[in-house]
Amino acid sequence: MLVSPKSFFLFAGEYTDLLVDLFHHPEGLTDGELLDLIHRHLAGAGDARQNILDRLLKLGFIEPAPEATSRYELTRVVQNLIGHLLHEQRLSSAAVVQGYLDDLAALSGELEGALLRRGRSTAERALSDIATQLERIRSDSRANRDSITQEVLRLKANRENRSAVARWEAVNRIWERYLVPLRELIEVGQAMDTCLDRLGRLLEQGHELFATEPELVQLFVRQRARLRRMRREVADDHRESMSEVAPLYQSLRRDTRLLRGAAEAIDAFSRGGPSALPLDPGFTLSVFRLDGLIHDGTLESYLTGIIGYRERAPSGPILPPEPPTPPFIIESAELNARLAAALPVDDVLAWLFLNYSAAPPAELLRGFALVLANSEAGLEATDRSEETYEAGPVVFQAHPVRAVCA
Amino acid sequence: MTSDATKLPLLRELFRRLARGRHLCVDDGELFWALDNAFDEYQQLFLALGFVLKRHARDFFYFEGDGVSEIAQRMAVFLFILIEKIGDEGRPVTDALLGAEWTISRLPHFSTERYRKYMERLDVPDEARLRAVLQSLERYGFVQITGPDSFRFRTPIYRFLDLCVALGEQAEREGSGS
Repeated sequence: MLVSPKSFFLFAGEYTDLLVDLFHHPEGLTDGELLDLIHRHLAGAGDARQNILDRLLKLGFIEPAPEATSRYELTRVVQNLIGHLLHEQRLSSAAVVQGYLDDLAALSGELEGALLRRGRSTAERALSDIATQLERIRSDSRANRDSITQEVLRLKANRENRSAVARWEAVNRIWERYLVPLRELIEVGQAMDTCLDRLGRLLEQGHELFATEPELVQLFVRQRARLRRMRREVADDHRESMSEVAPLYQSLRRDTRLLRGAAEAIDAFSRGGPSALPLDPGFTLSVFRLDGLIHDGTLESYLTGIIGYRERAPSGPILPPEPPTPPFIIESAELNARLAAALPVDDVLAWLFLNYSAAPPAELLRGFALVLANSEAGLEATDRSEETYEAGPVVFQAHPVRAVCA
Repeated sequence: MTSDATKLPLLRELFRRLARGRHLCVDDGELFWALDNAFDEYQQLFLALGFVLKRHARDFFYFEGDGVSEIAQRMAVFLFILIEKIGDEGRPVTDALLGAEWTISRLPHFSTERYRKYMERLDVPDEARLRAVLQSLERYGFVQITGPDSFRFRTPIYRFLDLCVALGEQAEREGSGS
């Protein structure tokens, strides 16, 4: 349905903020959401809200979304217009540009045919369509440059506090999806160059061929100028876009790798402890010490480990050590008196071991020697065979000695 | 090489610092410039003694090391945590590290349970020990402590950043190869 341009622009002028807000909802809005949005922009609109919604539809600002009739989105034409005004156009990919070039190639074929047949009207139509395509390419190229510049500024300002990884993904998408493929397209000798070179030659030929027809010549002259301008501006736009994006692309790529590296290292550390840190050989420190000295790093580690050490008072009273146990000594007088009281003793050594069992083996032998040295003991050798006498771990073997009354 | 390499300026002081792991950058004044002006001569002399003098692309000098110490581990984790925190805040990492003065009492190393556990694992359970790590970083030339509660990073910190980038690149290669 035809829309009156005057009605269209009057409405757009009156409800600009509403349209810009709609532009920032590319996913579309339900009719309820749309009425709320209208209400927010036009407080007190009351029943007029529905009227405004109807006019949005009627004037071609919005249309039902493909998947649901009760959901609305801006029409493509209005999206492109507002995007152009705000420098927030959708980017045209290399595939889209290639499509324009394919069209141009077809139109160049038409023009070539027209030149061969000297078909004036065919040439005029082809030139008109060629102009439209050239302007479309130029316009998209400028739109891309403006959008990319805006996006780069947004990424640099980072008001939404997006992480480095999220920003990297955004700039990488611009780089990989738009800039690099476009560069390949427009580089010397590539698709665009070849197509436009051919068109340029045809426009020159047409200029010469129709030299006697001034009006047609003007068309050829105009399209040649349009072609030169387009080529120059597309190259400029792409070069400017690359220079805007490249530094941010490099720094975000480095930052992303840096962050990923730190994350990998922390992950290794959390799973395997300090020894799992991937530091060697990329990061080692020189150490130097004279032989016999403690390495600074080792000493520092030790001192770090005892930082904050506080000496604690003992928990209880300090107890005196136990008095030493006096050695067991067999008194000579006491030994002789006990032996005399026990006489007769059939086996003096056995009697000693029994009566002085607490004495150590050496003391027992000394006691036996005291008995032997006591001339009043009345000792007699016996004819019994050797006996075995045990004093703890020590085992003695001896012929028994008898003690009788002296 | 000069006929008497021992006549190279500041040789004793340079060797003393470099051998102990110190990284020298332009902030170190005449020590840096002595190396900058006669790098090849110093490098040859030190090589004869078994030390490899390195010049980083960011213009600082250090001796190549031969192992990873506990100190290096603590310093590394200190940096990794800081880098992660900066990334979470959406700030450019290198600019944030090198472009500002840091407040020690506001460092993030004990701000979350996860970070606290990491630090405890390195025997750095509190701010006092964290300051000891910073002193290590200063001794090796990675930071300059500028006040009782502040410090800034020096260009040798790029050694840690290079390591992180290398690990990130390796992770990318392994990811794309899988």
